[in-house]
Parts: sequence; structure tokens; C-alpha cells
Amino acid sequence: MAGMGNERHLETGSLAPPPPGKDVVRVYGMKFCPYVQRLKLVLAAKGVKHETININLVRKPEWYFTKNPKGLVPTLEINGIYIYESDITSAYIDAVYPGRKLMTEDPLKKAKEQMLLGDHAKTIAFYKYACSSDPEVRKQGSETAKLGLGALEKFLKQAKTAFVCGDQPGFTDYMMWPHIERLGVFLPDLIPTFELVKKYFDDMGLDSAVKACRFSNELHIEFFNFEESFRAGEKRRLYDCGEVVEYSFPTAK
Amino acid sequence: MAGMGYGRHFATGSKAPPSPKQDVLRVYSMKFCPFAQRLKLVLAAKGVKHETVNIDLSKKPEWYLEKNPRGLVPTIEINGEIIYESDITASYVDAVYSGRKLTTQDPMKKAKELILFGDNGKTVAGFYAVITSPDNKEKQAEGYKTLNTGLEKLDKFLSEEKTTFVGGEEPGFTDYMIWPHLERLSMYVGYTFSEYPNVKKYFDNMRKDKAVQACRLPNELHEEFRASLRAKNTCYDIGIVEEYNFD
Repeated sequence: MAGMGNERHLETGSLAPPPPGKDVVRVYGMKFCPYVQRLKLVLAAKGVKHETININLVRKPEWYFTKNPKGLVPTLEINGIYIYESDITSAYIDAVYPGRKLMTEDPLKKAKEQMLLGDHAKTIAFYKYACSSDPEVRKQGSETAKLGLGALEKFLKQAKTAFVCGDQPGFTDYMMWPHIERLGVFLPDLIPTFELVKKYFDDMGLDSAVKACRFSNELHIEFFNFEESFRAGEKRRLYDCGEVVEYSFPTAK
Repeated sequence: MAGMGYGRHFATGSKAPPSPKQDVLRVYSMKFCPFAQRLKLVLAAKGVKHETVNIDLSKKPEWYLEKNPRGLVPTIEINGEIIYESDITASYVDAVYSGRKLTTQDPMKKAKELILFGDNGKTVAGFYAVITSPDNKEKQAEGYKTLNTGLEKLDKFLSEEKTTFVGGEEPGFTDYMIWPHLERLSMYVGYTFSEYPNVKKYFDNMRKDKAVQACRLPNELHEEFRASLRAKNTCYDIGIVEEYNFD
């Protein structure tokens, strides 16, 4: 669980952190963000040392926009250079740092994995529905997710491998996992309706990088703070739920 | 101009063409499609021999949906394997075929180009908003605003990198991914890029590239195509039309 980083989420009005030391990999993240988790899984699988600064995405610090004009996470900062987007940062880390190469070198395999990742957008679409209080929207979300999982089932059947990337989880597995993990939390009955996806879900759960970056179902649910958010009609996320680590530098004015 | 392929567009009810021969690369395309053009530019720049099967996108052949369930172009078929999506097919071709390597091998440069390609999504989205709402001033203004956000990023990228093209001193992978919509911005709405001096210069340099020239269809032909599109009677087979000979 330490893989996601328990650092406190900095918000509007906070002080900007000092720049990272030379050659230090810094990740601007959010503890429960599935896109940050993609990068964190890649870092964990390769064993790349890094530091984490968490960002409150509802009340974003002003200084964060100088790091990433889109204001999204994850962002990488290394020696004054900024890179963002989950797949772009992950590909950069995989290309530059030692450790197991996660991206396949075979162009045809790579193309097939990229097409699957396109289909995976349907699985991801469930996520925003899962956050809705409207039962009709939720049902629609589960229908959309079925299409994405269907594509994964077909891929695994044709590939005849335990994971999308082969006999070990690879780049595309780590890109897909975060939303599949959350599907397991919010729509737990859906995954077992796909035989190979169910097996895949269980096998991925045994991977050490997945374990390092996984929170309990209860903590995921606590973070969303559904009841209060629905009542307020706005996101009342509990960014700092669970364990919290303080920074070694001042964050308040 | 031959770069885009003159083959007649297969429509609903047509008989499926025979599979391509061993090691023959086949591209399912549409003569005026900017996404197909991305792949065609890469093929032209590398000098990769291939055959083209054009698809009528308003009356799609039933057999085409079996090749590509999304029913979009481009799709490539080679030795029984099917790959689709413009950037995925283009990247496959660049990795597998000989000729100039178009994708940069430097991870940092690659990341920067990918971020720029993401920003180009704004140029594409804004472009479509503008051309699909000729009578809606408000939607037009919104579209221009969106596409300008994308062009601003391109201008900044070129000024920071201080290279003629996004890929360096020669057009590279990302240049060929962003070109088709820039070409149409100029052709369809007379955009001059005058607010973005680096983009303007870039546009003029790209126009001189051999692959760009090979995949460029005359303005009048695009005009005719768009008029048929607006009249809801899309004509793909205008200009030179070639019949297929699969033997």
C-alpha cells in the first residue's frame, strides 16, 4: 500500500515544495487516483525509487499549475523537466530506468495491446457512473463496462497467456489494472461473469507491484465519501483517509 | 497524389475482396480521410509498397465490419493479422518496415511529442466544431477558440525546440500525425496561421515535404467531396477512379 504514497494532499493556499534533489524522481499524485496508480505500478514493478507529493484535486494548489498547466495527476518532475499523462510518464520511466522492461518490443504484439487499451476505455467509462447516485446511470455504467471486459476476455482467450503482456504482467496490464481493481470494489458481481477475466483478476491480485499499490475495498469506499457527497451535490472526497505521512519541508504559510 | 489511392470505394452489398497475398500489406482507407492520411504519409515517407482498398464510410460494406468492428479507417491487413487506429497502424509500420525511422528513439523527446500530440486533439476537435456548424456563429467561435489552444501549444513547442519540424530537421512521426488536420484547416476554412508565426513557417515547410505532396489531393476535389457531404449524398469516387485487379 505504501506504493501509492500516504503523503498529505496539498491544497489551495499551500506553499510550493522545494524542487527535488538532483536525479530524484518526483511524482505528483493523488492517493486514490487510478491514473496515478498506473505510473505507481510501473515504478513498483521496476523498483524505481521516487518521492511523492500528493495533490488535493478539488482544491488544487495555485503553484501546481506551474508544474502541469492541465492541473491533472500524475506529473513527473526530474531535473527541472516535467512530463504528464499516465501512459506517457509510464512509458518514459519504462524506457529510461533499469529493471524489468515492461513494454513489449514486438511491434505486432504492441499494436494488439494498444487496440485492447482502446477497448478498455469502455471499462473505464463505468467509473464515472459508479460515482453517480442515479440508479439508471449506474446500470448504464455496468452495461458499458461489460463491453470492455468482453474485449479483455476475447484478448486473453486468443493470447492464451495469463496476462495481457504474457506470463508476467507488463505495461498494458499495469495501464488496465487500476480501473479493473475499482470495478472489483464497486461492481463486484460483474467480473465473475467473465471466466478468463475472473482468473486474470485473481492472478493480478498476486502480483507484488499490484499488492504494493492496492488499498482495501473499505478504504476506497471511505475515500469517495458517497453519502456526504451526494447530500452536498459535490465531491466531498476524503483525500487524507487512512495513514498520513507529513512532509519534511514547510507546507503552510 | 497517388499516395491516398484512387481505388473505387466499396459500399454496402459489395463482395469482399480476396485476402491480400503473402507479405502484401493492405490498407483499408478512404480517399479524403485525415486519419487514413496519417498512415499514408508514414507509408509514403518510408517508401513502403502496399495496396489500398477504399471503403465507403456512409454505406459501409458488411464484410468490412468483420475486419474492423469499429468500422473506421484506416485498417491494415497483413498475413491474416488486422490492426486499426491511425496512430497504432502508423507506429506498427514505422517499427516493422525499412526506410527512415520516423519515431524518435529518445524517451524524453518522445514524451514531449506525445504530450504535443495530446494537445493536437484540441486542434482536431476545434476543426470539426468549425466545419460542422457553418451557420452557428456561437459554435464556430467556440471551435476556433478550441483549435487555437492546440495551435498555441504547437507554436510554443516549435519555438522551444528551435527545430524546423516537430521531429527535428526532417518531418517525423508526430509531424505526420498532426499534418492532415492542419492541411484541412487551410483548405476548408482558409486558415492562415497568421497569429502563430512558428506554425505558419512550419506549415509552409511541411507543404514542401515529398510525402505530404504525394498524399495531397487538389483543393477542388476536396471541395466537391465536401459539397456532396453537405448534400447528404456523399461521393467518394470523384477525380481519378481506378478499378481493382486482385489477380
